[in-house]
Order: sequence, then C-alpha cells, then structure tokens
Amino acid sequence: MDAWLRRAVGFDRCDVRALEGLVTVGVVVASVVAAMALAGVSAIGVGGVGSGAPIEVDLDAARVAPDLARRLPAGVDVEAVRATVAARPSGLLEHLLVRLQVLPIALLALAVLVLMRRIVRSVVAGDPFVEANVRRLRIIGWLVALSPILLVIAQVARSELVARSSVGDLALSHVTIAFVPILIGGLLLVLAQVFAAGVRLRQDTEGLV
Amino acid sequence: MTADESRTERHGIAVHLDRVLAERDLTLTELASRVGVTLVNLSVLKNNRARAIRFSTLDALCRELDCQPGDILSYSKPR
Repeated sequence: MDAWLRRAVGFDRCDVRALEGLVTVGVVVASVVAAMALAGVSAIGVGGVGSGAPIEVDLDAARVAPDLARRLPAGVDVEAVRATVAARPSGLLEHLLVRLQVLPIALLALAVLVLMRRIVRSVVAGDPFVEANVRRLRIIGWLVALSPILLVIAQVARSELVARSSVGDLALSHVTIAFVPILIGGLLLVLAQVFAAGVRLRQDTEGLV
Repeated sequence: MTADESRTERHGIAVHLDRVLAERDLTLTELASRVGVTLVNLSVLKNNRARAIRFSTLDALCRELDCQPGDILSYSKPR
C-alpha cells in the first residue's frame, strides 16, 4: 500500500528543482494577479481599467422570485438566488472597495510564495537547516493563519459594493470565517518550532569530529 | 545563538595532534586511515577548528597513537 502510494504520488521522483520551477511560476502568477487587482482589472472580467469583474451576489429569493418556492417540490426551500452584478465603481471609496476584494489576498499569496521560493532555493543549495528558514516558516505560518481576516475584509468590501449597486436592497449579506487556514497556519508554526530544533541540532553537530 | 556566533565561539581546549604526530613520525593521512576519520575532519581537529570530539574518535586516536587524552588535549582559561 505504502509503495503503491509513493508510486502514485511520485514522491520518489519529486525533483526539488521542478518544485523550484513550480513555485517560481506561482510567484509570477501571483504578481500578475496582484498587479491586475491594483489596476482594478479582474482576472475574469478584463473589460478595462476600473470596470471590475461581475460580482456574484445572493439575492433574497422571497423578494426576487416569490413564486419560485411554489413551483418546487414540497420540502424544498429556496433562501437565495445567485446572480451577478456588474461593478461600476464611481468614487474613490468604490475603487478602493473593488481593489480590496482581491489585492490583499493576492499580496499575501505573493509574500508566501516568495518566502517558499527562498526556502526551496536553500534546499537546492544543500543548506536548508538555517535560522533564516525558521524565520521564513514562521512568517508563512502567521500569514496563512491571519489570511481569514483578509478574506473577511474582501467579503465586507464585496457586500459594500453590492449594497451600493442597483440590487443593494435585495441582496443577502453574510460573512463567513474560514477555520482551515487558521489550522494550517498553526501547523506551520509548530513545524517552524520543529525546524528550529533541527537547526540547533545541526549547529551542535557542526564541527563535530 | 546564531550559526555565525557558534562558529566564532571561544573555548580553552587546545589540540596537540601535530606534536604527538611528530613524536611518532606519523602523517595526518596515515593516522586518518588508521582511525577511520576523514582527512578533512582530522585536519579540522588538528587545526583547533573542531567544536566537539566524539569519544569514539578520541578512543581511536589514543589507541593508534598509544597515548592518553591529556597528551592530545589540554585546557587553559580563555583570555
């Protein structure tokens, strides 16, 4: 089973240089997304600077389609109807809200990927057990653990944009907090501590004859 | 403690491997092959750049050089 899993996943053939290339591609993609978000151009709706992407919005089904529930089988309840609304920011605040939807997350992803690339490069160089990597791992851990805050900011910005749109009074606003990134961030912080112990062990054996 | 700090760590242990080798008319290369330690590592030890020594290495050195640990190592208070 174990050998089958290794073959299937390909850990044995995993080349650290290929990983470096993959992370570098990630850095480039995150840079492009961050630059587009900064310019107010979405990756989906490339309609020009400031036009933004259509925003997905949940509309109150009871008000938008009151007869919908009657046409559905008994026991099926419709709470919301998914719709898209074009974001056409006019003032400074709305332009800021459009950017807040993607830019913070894109910058966070970019920071994580840049740090990951430095760690992978130290592996390629053959010297990964250094203090710098412990620091990088800790920063990545905190960034990932705090990323739900940026997601909440993005959701609030989206809700505010929807509230200012033509369907503002029909929209259902809700904010969800993701717990998985908090757990992953915590795991990374624990691994950083384990890595720190590895660095101390390596320092102890350095110069041992 | 950072890696750089640990590398420049000062201690009062001195290694007299060169003197003992000269007394026995042995080369470092020959001793390395007898003791089973690489020439590079033995050179690190001889030049006082080692930070630690295994008992097994010390044991092998004393056996091959027919001496006591005190003949190879000495301590003086660091200034």
